[in-house]
Amino acid sequence: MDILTGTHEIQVATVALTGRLDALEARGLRDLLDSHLASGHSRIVVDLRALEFVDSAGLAALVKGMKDCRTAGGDLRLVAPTERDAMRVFELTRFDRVFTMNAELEDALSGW
Amino acid sequence: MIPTALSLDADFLALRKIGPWLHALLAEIGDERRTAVFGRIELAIHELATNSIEHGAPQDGAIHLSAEVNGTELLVVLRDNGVECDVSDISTPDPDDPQVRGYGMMIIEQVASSLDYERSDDNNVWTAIFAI
Repeated sequence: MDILTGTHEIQVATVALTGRLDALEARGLRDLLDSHLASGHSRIVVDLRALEFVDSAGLAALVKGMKDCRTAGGDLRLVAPTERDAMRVFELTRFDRVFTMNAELEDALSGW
Repeated sequence: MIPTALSLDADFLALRKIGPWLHALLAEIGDERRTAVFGRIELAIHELATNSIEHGAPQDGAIHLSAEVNGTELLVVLRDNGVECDVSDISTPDPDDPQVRGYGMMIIEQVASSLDYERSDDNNVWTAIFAI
């Protein structure tokens, strides 16, 4: 019997956001996520803990990113916002059940 | 005197004036009540204004908001002179089939006690009532 062993590293790109993720900022996030995908990173964690506000345009950028990542064989996971005003849009649209959301970055980075 | 009317340029940067305006407007209901309601109402008005920019495309490049506190309700009116809204064309996203856009109205309708639309003198007029 031959035994071959190896180790594999799974690379996960992380993006941490601060401030407001709204229509004004959504385009920039979309472009950033697109560039990660173009670079071959289809596993992305977006850290929303420091966001103060998210609207549906910001949500749309994350949803688009998630769909594109999943199409590429990966996923886009979130570290959940700590501010109520940033979490609200996910709850009202039920996207808190669609995204994989973790309370801590370490949890979002594990288990790929 | 807290202005109860706010006119904004129809661009996304200008929409950031909504939060401070609303926060000042709600001062009369006291800090505790304001803290309890502010975030969700800000989101709903923000969504209404975003829809105006994206779908209405106001010809004069402006969105006009007015608001009035009536006891336990906040009445907000948004007016723009953009393209007439076809309310029959607004569909509710299917939660089991996530889509990228189209959630603005869904958010507004969950937050507002009522939401009405009328076309008046070549203006789109949205009237939302929020429980405060």
